[in-house]
Amino acid sequence: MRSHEDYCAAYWLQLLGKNCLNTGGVLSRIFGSYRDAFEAPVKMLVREAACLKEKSAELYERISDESLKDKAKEVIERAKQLGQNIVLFDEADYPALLGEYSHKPMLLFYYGDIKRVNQIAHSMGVVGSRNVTPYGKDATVKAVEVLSGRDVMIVSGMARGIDAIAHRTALDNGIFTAAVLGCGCNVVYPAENISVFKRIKEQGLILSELPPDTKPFKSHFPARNRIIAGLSELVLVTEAGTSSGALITADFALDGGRDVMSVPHRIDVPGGAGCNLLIKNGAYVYTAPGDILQAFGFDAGEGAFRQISDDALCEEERIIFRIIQNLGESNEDEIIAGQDCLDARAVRKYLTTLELCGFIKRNSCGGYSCC
Amino acid sequence: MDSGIITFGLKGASAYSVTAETDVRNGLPYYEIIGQGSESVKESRKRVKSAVINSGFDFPKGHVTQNLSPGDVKKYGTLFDLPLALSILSEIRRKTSAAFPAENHKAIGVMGELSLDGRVLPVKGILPCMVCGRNSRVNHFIVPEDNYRQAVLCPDIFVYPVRTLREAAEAFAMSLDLFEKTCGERLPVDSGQSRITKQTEGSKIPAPPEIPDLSDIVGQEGAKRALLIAACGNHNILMAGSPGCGKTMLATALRGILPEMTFEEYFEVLSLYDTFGLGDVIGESRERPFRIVHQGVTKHALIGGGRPIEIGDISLAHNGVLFLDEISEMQRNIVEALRLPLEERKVYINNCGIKEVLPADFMLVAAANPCPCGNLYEKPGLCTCTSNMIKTYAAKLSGAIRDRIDIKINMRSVEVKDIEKPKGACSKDVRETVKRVRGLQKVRFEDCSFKTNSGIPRVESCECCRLSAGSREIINSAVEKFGLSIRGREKTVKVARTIADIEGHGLITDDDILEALQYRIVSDEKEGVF
Repeated sequence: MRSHEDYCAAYWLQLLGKNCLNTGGVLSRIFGSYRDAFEAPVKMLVREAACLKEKSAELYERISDESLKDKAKEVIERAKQLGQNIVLFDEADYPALLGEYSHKPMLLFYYGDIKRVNQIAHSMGVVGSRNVTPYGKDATVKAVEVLSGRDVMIVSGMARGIDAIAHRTALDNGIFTAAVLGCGCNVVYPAENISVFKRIKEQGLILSELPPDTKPFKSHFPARNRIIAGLSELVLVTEAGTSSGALITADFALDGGRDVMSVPHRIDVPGGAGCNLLIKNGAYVYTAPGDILQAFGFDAGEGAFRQISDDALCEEERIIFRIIQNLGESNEDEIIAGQDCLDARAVRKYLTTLELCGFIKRNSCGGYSCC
Repeated sequence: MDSGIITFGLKGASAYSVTAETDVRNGLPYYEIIGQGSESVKESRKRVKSAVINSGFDFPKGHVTQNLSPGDVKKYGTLFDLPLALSILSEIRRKTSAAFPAENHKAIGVMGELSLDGRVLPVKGILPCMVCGRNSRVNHFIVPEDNYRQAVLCPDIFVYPVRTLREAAEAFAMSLDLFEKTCGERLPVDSGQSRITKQTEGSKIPAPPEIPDLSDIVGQEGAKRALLIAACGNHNILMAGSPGCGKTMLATALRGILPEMTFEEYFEVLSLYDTFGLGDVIGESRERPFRIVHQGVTKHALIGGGRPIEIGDISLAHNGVLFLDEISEMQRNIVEALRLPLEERKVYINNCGIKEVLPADFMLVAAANPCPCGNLYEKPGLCTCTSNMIKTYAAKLSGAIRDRIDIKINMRSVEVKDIEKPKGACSKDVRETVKRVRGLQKVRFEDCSFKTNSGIPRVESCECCRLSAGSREIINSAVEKFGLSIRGREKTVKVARTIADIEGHGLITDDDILEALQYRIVSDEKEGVF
C-alpha cells in the first residue's frame, strides 16, 4: 500500500502519457519514484522526456501544465472519498496475469478484495452479446456453473446480456467474479444491473482504470475489453455479432497470448455470426461444459459431457422431450402439431411434469428448452 | 293534496321513486317546475302545457307550481312529462265528479315523454323503474306504448301501454280492477319499429364483426383449448403472440362459444343498456355483450363517468366479454383503472358530486404483442428488439393486472404447411360443452354470490376446490419451482376446477392441476418478460 501522494503522482504520470504506461513508467524510473517525478521542476522533466521515444509537443505541453497535477490530486481525493482503492502496476496486489500483458493499465481503481485475484489459479473471461437469446443464456449459465467449486474466477464487463448473466451465475454458485467497467467504479451502467453491482462489490471485485465518476462513453469500452482479456486465461465468446465488442476482446486476448473459445451459433441467424467467424479462424469450439474444464486442465469426468438420459420418462413425456431436444427450442403449438398421439390437454400435462422434474424449462421467448 | 303521481328518476343503473305534485293558486298566469330539474326537466313546462291543451283539456289559469320530490336530488331526462301532466289533470279534476280514484295515486307508477300534440313518446330506463316500483309495492304502471315490450319483461306487474295523454288519463281514471283487466288486452301494434327511430343513439355502436367459427381457425389447438377453459369458467385470459397469429380472430370466435344469457342476466343487461338509451343494441338477443376496446380508448369511455353519467365499456360488457386488443399499447393509467372493477365486479363512479355504482361483471380477454416488434415468440432471429426494450414493454402490464388474469397463453404464427391439417371442433359443439360446464357451476354455486369458478373468493375454504394429497404435492412443488405467488396458486386451482368440470371429474385430479399450471403467469424479475 503506497501513500496518498504516491497515487497522486502515479495518476499524474498516467495522465502525462495519456494512459500509456511507457511515458509515465519511464519517467518514474528515471526519477527514482513517482513522487520525485511529480515534484521535479518542469525543466528537468522536459529534459528527461526528450530522451523518450514520444517527443511530441503535446507531451511537453502536458508536463508544463500545472492544472494536470491539480486534477490528479482531485481524482485521487475523490476516489478516497468514495472508498475506492487503488493499485499500481508495480505493487504485489496487481493482478499477475494482467501484469504480464503489454497493454496493462498503470493504475486501477477498485472495490472489493483484489488479493483474491492472485490467489485464484485460473480465470475465464466471459463476453458476448447484449441481446441474448435463450440459447446464449443457457450456454453461458452452463459454462459458468460447471466451474463451481473449481479454482477459477470469472471476469466480465457487467454489461447487459451475457456479461450480467455470467456475473449472476458466478455469484449464485459461489464463484469469485471480477467486473471490469468502462466507466468509473462508482457508476452503475447499465442501471438495471444495480443488484449485480452491489453483490459483486461485496463478494467479488469491481475494477476500472478510469477515474471515479467517469461516464460510460462508447469509446471507453474497447479499452475496457483489453483489461478483460488481460485478466483472463481463456475468453469464452457467446452470441457475438460480426461487429460485437466481444470480438475486440477476443482480439486482445489473442494479442496477449490467451486462449479463445467460442460457442457455435446457428448459421442462419446473423446474431451470432461473430462466434462462428472465430471458430473459422481457429478458436476452440465449445460444445459442452466439459470443454471448459478440459481447457483449464481439470479432470472433466463423465458428467460434463453426458447427454440427459430420458430413461426415467414415460412414453408421452419422452415424445415431447425429444421434440424439444431436436428443435433446441420449441413452443406449445409446435409440440402439439409435431406429433399425432397427444392433444393440447395431454401435451400441457406432460409439459408440466417435465418442467417439474427439471428436464425442460420455459424460456423468455414463450417456448420451452431443455435444462 | 292528492294530486301526487308516482314516477321514477334514474340514478346510474337504478331508479328511485319520485312524486310529481301540483299546486294551483290564484294569481297572474305563471307555471313553474321545482325539484332540482335539469334543463330537460325545465323544458317539460312547455311540453306539458302544450300537450294538455292540445289533448283537449283545460290548463289551469293562475299560478301553477309543480314539484318533483325528493327535492334535493338532481333529476335528468324526459320521463317526468307524463306524470307532471297527469298531476295537473288530477288537480283540475280533484273537486269535480271526474276525480281520479284516490288509491291510484299510490298504486300506479307513470312515466313517459310528451310531444306537443299530446302523444306519448318512449323513454330510457324503463326496466330499472319497474324494478324500483315493484320493490316499493307499486305494481301498476302506465308506460309509453313503445316501451311496452321491454316493460313486460319484468315479472309480476301490470303494464298499461298508452299512445296519448288522453289514453293515459283514461287509464288513470279506471279502478285498479279494470286497469288490471284492460291492460292485458292492449297489445301494441308495431312497437319495435318506432322505438328504433326514436332511440337512434343505439346506432352509434358499430355492428359487431362476423363471428368466425372455431373450425375455421387453422392450428392454434393449444389456444383453442385455453379459450374453451376460459369460456367455461369465465376466466380472464391474456393472449400474447406476434401480429397476425390469430389473437383477434380467436377472441372474436369466443362469441360463438359462449352460452346465451339466462333470463336474469339478460334482464340485467337490457335494463342497464336501456337506462343509457342503448336498449336496441341488445333488443331481444340473448347473446352476451362483446365489447372490443382498442388501444386509443380514453379512460372516460372505458370506465364511464361525466355528468350526467355516461356508461363505460366495462359496464357495457356486463355479463359478457371485454376484449382489450393490444393491451400493452394502451396508456398505463387506463389499464390500471381496471383493477378495482376486475376485483369488485362493479365500478364506482365519483364525479363532481355524482356517486354511482354501475355493474361491471365481465370476462377480460386481452391480447398483446410480447415485444415492440412483436416477433419474440417467433423463430429465433426474427425479433429485433433489445432485451431492455422487451423488459420495458413487458413492464407496461403491471403486476396488479397480471394478478387478475387467470390464463395466459403464448402464441406463435401458424406455419403454412399446417393449413392442410384437419380442422378442429366447430363452435357449435364447443358451445355445448361450455353450456354444460356453466350449468354445473350454476347448480354448484346456487346459494353463492358468485356464479362461476373464476369468482370463487377463497379457494382454500371452498369445498369444490379440495385437493387430494397428490395434487397438493404437485402444486406445492410448482409453487417452489416456478416461483408461483399465493394468488398464482389460487388461480391455478380455480382453473383446475374448471378443467375438472370440463373433463367430468368430481374432484380435481392431478392431471387437471398439471394442465392448469401451464396457464400460469409468472413475472420473472430478472427477465421481465411477458
